[in-house]
Amino acid sequence: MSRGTVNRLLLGVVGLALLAAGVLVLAGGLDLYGRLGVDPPSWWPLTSPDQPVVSGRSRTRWVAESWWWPVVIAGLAVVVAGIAWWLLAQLRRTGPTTVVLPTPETPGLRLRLRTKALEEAVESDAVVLPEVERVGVRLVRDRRHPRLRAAVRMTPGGDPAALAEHFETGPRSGARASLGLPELPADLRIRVVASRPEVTRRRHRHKRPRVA
Amino acid sequence: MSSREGAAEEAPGPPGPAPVKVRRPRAPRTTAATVVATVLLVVAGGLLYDVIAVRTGHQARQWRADLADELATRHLDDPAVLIGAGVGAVLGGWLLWLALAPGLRRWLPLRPHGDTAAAIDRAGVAALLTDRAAELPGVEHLRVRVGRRRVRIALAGPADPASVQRRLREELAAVTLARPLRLDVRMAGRRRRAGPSPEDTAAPVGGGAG
Repeated sequence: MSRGTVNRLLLGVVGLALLAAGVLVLAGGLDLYGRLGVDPPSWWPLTSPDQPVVSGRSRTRWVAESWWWPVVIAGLAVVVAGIAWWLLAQLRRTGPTTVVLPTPETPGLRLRLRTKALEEAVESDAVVLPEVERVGVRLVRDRRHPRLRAAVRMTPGGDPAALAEHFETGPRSGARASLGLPELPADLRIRVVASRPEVTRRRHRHKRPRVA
Repeated sequence: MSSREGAAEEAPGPPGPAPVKVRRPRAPRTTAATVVATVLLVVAGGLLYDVIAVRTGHQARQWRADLADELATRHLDDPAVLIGAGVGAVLGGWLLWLALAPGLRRWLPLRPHGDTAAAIDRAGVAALLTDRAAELPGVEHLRVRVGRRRVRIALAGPADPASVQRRLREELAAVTLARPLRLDVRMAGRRRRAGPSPEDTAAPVGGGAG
């Protein structure tokens, strides 16, 4: 599972728990059951506005049991360890450190390429494309199914469709072919800087139209 | 991933080409996950520390004693409890939204070029349109707002809005967005249009395009 999937799953779980708890307390506190004439089942928690948030019965139900505190401590420890792992996963640099290259001629050879080298090669190929001002390339996904992610700053007034076509036929196809990979898909994120300074100077009579 | 086949260009609508189905990129939600994980780690870690401290014969910390006391005595119709529950429910709904919504609203996907899935940011589209409009005659002042479904342009000057719209529609079509944007051009400030003069240019209004 990718990091994004894990993040969305856990955010969903936390959000659902918060939402359910909040709605339960609100429904009980505002006496929605009584007003709407709904009769919740007997095990339904928090039904009366006059009851405390945590009742005495639920506080003392298991405290006397010998297994209660070990279970609480073990459960909390597991939760803390899991959250710590989740947090560390956010701080890690994503993407593989190496890419596995296919070696059909020599079956015994395991050839791997450093991700950084590939990123720099694609970057230097892409930065010389027309209308490109700046480019940054990252490799994402796993080392067997790598995917390029390029962020490009285009010159003002450039043609994004032509830029995408140039990137597809140039750096992306070149990298895929020279590495011998069956496929190397790419994401291209194009940004455009707002305005040309020389245009502003030339048409100083007019107020420079601005992106607002 | 290669959505090269796209959607066949069947029956192009009257304005511009038909939308192409592309896989919408999804945000990894790293920031939200970092914040939520940090908060949960502090809460769960503090609780674990205190439970162990009490089990090993120490006093419970004041915050835990207070919290247990409040939870045991405050009733459900207490305003503090209701406000807390409301905040919790809203926060939970927001996190749920973050989990489900694709995000990356500033990026507009382009038509696919082979195995390259390109996207341009909305402020970039606004910059392209602004640069193009600045070259048109009679455009003194304009404000471009690029939404995710349509572009709104407010124009001031003696220019003909219909011709400006035509030229900018060409420029917008050249971007080749997978899902073409509607383009609305309207005149801003009829007062300025009545008596155009070089000095009569109000400062461009600031705002967010992305």
